[in-house]
Amino acid sequence: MKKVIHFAVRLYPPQWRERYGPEFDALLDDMNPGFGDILDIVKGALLMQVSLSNLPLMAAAFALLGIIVAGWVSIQNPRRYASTGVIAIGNAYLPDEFRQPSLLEVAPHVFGDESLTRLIDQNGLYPDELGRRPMTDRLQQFKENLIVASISPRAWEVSFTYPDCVKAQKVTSDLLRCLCQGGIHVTEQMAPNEEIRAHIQMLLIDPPQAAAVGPSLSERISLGLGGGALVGVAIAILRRRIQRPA
Amino acid sequence: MSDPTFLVLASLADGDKHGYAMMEDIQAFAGVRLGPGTLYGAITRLEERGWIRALNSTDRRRPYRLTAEGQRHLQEDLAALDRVVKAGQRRLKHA
Repeated sequence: MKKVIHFAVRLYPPQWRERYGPEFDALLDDMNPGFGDILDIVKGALLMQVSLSNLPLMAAAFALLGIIVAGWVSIQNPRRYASTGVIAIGNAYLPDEFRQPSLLEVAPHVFGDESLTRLIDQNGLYPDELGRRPMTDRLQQFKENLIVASISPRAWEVSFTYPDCVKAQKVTSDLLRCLCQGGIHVTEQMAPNEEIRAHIQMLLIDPPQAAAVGPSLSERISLGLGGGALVGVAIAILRRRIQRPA
Repeated sequence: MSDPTFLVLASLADGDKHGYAMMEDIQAFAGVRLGPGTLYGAITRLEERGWIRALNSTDRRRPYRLTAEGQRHLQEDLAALDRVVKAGQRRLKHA
């Protein structure tokens, strides 16, 4: 922590540090600076640099601010993983008039509120929300993270996104297994032939595979560093142009 | 009310103080905790305007004193704030 504070103090202009440095250090020794104080020091240094327009230091200060913001964003929004699998109707003799149903409608034993709630509990999903928000909110959040999309006249893609890769895989596996074991309830409008309806089977085509969603921590930090430095340089140049005598 | 320069001037109104003493005093009388960067940003601006001045010190902890001009500005700010407070209270009574 002391090293970060020491570095943050060095972001102030040299002439400012020459005048106020010793007493500023004494203040920091007297108090017990926290994370918020580091941000306050960086902010103070930036404002002081803006008034004096030191280009390299402005770039460094804004780059540091960019890294801090990127780190904060990463803590608030951890990387997520999408686990995706494909399921399809296995019967080869579906009639031409067969209308592909919505998987959510024809598999209430899998996608109904009761079974989804059970899935949330069994896998311990959204532990931070447990006790703070009602189950209906956690269920709604789960539904927002679950995507079921038709990818061909007889196949669907099931995808679940969650910060924990293992849990995302487990949830998608559970959903696909339930669909294979319980099948789907096809109505007469979808397939008029009763024999076909009775023999519709669900097959797992692609087992769930997890992939990271969004930028990694190092990509976010790099973005914060580069973006911050660019902003710093831009402000310093702008400031010099404004101050340049006519 | 939460303007750091106003709070620093108000803190120095009852005597000379160094940075940490000002920080503690402001938290006690205004309930506002100024960060080190914010506090020294205010001190720098006030000294540039000549509203406070640094005193000699053998210690690293340099005390500051309100100047006559700073005192005049503080009185003006307090008078303006007093008008706002009175107007607000009057309006609340009639609400």
